Amino acid sequence: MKYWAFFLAFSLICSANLQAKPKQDYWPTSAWKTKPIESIGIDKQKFKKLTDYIWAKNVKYKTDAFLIIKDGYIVYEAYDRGHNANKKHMFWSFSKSMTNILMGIAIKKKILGLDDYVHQYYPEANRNKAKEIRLHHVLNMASGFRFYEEHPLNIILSDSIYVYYSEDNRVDVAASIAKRKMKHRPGTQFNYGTHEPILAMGILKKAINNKEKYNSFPWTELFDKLGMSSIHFEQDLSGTFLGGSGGWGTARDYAKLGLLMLNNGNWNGDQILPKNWVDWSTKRISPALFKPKRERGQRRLNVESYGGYWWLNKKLPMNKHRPYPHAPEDIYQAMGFRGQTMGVIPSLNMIILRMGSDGRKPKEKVKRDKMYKLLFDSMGLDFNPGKHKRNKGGVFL
Amino acid sequence: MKKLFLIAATLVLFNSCKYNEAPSMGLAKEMCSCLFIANQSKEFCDEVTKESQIMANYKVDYENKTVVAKGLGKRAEGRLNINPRFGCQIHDVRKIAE
Repeated sequence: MKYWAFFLAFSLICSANLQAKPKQDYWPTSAWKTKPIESIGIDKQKFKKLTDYIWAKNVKYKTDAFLIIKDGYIVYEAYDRGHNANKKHMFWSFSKSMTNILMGIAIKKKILGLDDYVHQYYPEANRNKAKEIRLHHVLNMASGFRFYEEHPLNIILSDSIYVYYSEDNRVDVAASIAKRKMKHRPGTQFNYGTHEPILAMGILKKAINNKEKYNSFPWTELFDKLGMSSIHFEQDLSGTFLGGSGGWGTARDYAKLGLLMLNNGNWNGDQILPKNWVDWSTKRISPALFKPKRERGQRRLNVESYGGYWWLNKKLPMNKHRPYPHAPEDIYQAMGFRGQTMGVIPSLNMIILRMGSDGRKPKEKVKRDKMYKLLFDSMGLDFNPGKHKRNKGGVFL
Repeated sequence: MKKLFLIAATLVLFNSCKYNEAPSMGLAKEMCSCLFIANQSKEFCDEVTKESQIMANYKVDYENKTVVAKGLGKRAEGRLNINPRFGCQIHDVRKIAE
């Protein structure tokens, strides 16, 4: 009898632990709550070094918004250059991570499957190598399309500009991507580009096959549930959401996506994402990154590690160090042009969000690793054993 | 002299290839979004689009929430969607002479 009682108690404890527990005591659907920065035990003098760096004047990088969220509470929030908590900011490639979440929802609702072929939705892709592209290749930036996010000769020749701003492509951007020439077999070469999430949102449009339902999908399935009332999500003229860079909204609203990820896709008891989606997107390195082939003009290839529209901080076998040595290994980031950065850290239950208007050249950008170093120094945390000095990389976005 | 040559070479390149509508389309769209989605000031939007303004200029119609940009022989219109949640879109791209 004693053994049965012990077994029962043990089972109850185990099942309680297995249930997804929210990591904070409230949900910021209507509004974020705040706590003072001192509540996370920082050294104020050291923290000032971070704020001095973030808000420095007479430098080329320009911070518009900076938020630190710990255990679901905003512990630091500041704005500059006319921005405030209600001001909408362009997400740039933050939109890709937003698209990752929307795709996860579509997969949970069985609208799409990771193994679906692109040509099921875009017959233009039913040719040679392209017919082998599956949705998971698209979500891992490994479709194999010939595409230069930044052209090696000049930014203005980049395909990331051409797909948006050319007469041939602007009406239906996703269809124009599905027609592109192939350069690699799907899944064999990582190639970061804005084309993949646009195609993903095009695939979602074709799968839903109902304009009204598709148009409302991001709001009914995600933004409204999280109380993200500031969001705009741009469409091309064919009505496809521009999943690569078409998002706009406030810093406070974008941070809610980080909180959703920290809670394994669960928001106030509503399991919005498949239970394995966050792990699939943020713990599993895009398989194509393990192929050591280096493509001309892609200076960052095989330096960064990438999951499913989230940047990871894992050391690739061919590298000597993690991309961001001063940040914990489990951090995953949404990143975008002009210095947009949202670091999500499960081990600290923490979100660091920076929106900016940096320039394109490396010296015109905030140094993300330095930002993390200064923050964690102020918290008395050291994630860098000192032997991982890094001089290059992490400067593409 | 070197600068002039570079500018001339750039103009020839752009007028002879598929990219010559990009400056006007890009500026029309970026400026429209900055003004009518982000509700930023004209000064702020000028600053964030300064790279696009090297090869194009623009005019704003605040009443119709439209930005018309011209550059490299092309004209493009960025217009806020009837449903603003879908942002600005590029309409009416054509040669300036038309």
